[in-house]
Amino acid sequence: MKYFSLLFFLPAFIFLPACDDDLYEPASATGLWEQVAISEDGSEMNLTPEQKTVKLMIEPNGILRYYHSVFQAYANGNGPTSFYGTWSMLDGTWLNISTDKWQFNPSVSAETGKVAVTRKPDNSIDTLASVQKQWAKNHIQARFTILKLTDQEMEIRLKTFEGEKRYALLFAPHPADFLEIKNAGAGKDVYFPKLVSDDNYLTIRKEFQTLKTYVFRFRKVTN
Amino acid sequence: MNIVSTACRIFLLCIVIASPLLLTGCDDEPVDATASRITGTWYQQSYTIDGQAVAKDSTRMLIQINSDQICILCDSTRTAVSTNKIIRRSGWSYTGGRFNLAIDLPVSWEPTLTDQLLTLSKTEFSTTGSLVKSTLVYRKVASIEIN
Repeated sequence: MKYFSLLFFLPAFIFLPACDDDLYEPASATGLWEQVAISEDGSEMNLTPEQKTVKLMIEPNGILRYYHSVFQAYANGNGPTSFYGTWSMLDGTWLNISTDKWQFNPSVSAETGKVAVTRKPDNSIDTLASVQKQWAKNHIQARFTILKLTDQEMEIRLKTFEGEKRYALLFAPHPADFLEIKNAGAGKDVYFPKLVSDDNYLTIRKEFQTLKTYVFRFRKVTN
Repeated sequence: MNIVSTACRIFLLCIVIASPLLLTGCDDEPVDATASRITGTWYQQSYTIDGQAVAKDSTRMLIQINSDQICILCDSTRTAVSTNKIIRRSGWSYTGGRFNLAIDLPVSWEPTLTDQLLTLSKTEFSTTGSLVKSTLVYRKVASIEIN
């Protein structure tokens, strides 16, 4: 008879795991968010006025659109200000966001140790041709850990290499890390990560080997 | 044997009693009939930006949303019928309460259906970072065959 009480609870063990007990609901992430601050390894980053303009519009259909004015001065003041990617929430714990990132891919001469650049007939550096070879653009996912998500605040953490954050649209890069591509052609990006030279090659390479933790804080503007 | 038989009965009884109680703990998504109600042929009635009336969007005076997830956008019914001039075809879907037209992505539309009217609203960032809301209102019309 003492086993009868165990039998009574058996269905509970069978059916209860079917109900998910997620920490955060995807619906609570949707809406318009305004970036408040970013910290790097616990220290608040100094953001330029352009970087402070970041707004995220997280939409319920899985699309993320965002605004910043870092490239607005490009193309005679008509540079792009709206960008987009996709988002999803995993296990109520992680926020996956896809954005443009650039892979550091310069060639270095084995003989001279110098960074390869493309030159024009007058021997000046062809910046557009050079950066297109030095950097490979991808649209890939970054996985953030959700630290806080309420109807007013969102705090997400990304542990990644410094270069992965610096040369990516996560979300507004520092203006000094990108340059304007003039006469890029219709439909082409007017921005690219900066030219890799003998002077900055080792610095950038080190950035792609240095692991850092970033925390992004946002304030909800509207649902 | 009697004890085993009684145990089985109690066990089955427990399942019958407990199942409905436990299963109701899992929420089912509410059924959204928008995806089926949005299909049909719609004619543009008005176009507003931030509440201000502007000229109608001539590239999509008539939209035919078909159940095969294809949407046809015409400049007007008359032109479409008389010359078979189809402006554009686009895939469409309804996800997360948004009407996604492939040609408009990443911007999606928020649809509202009332009787014979379909209201499509989209929100975009302006160059200053403020939001701009555009709204197209369509009235349902008799379906026409667009080849």
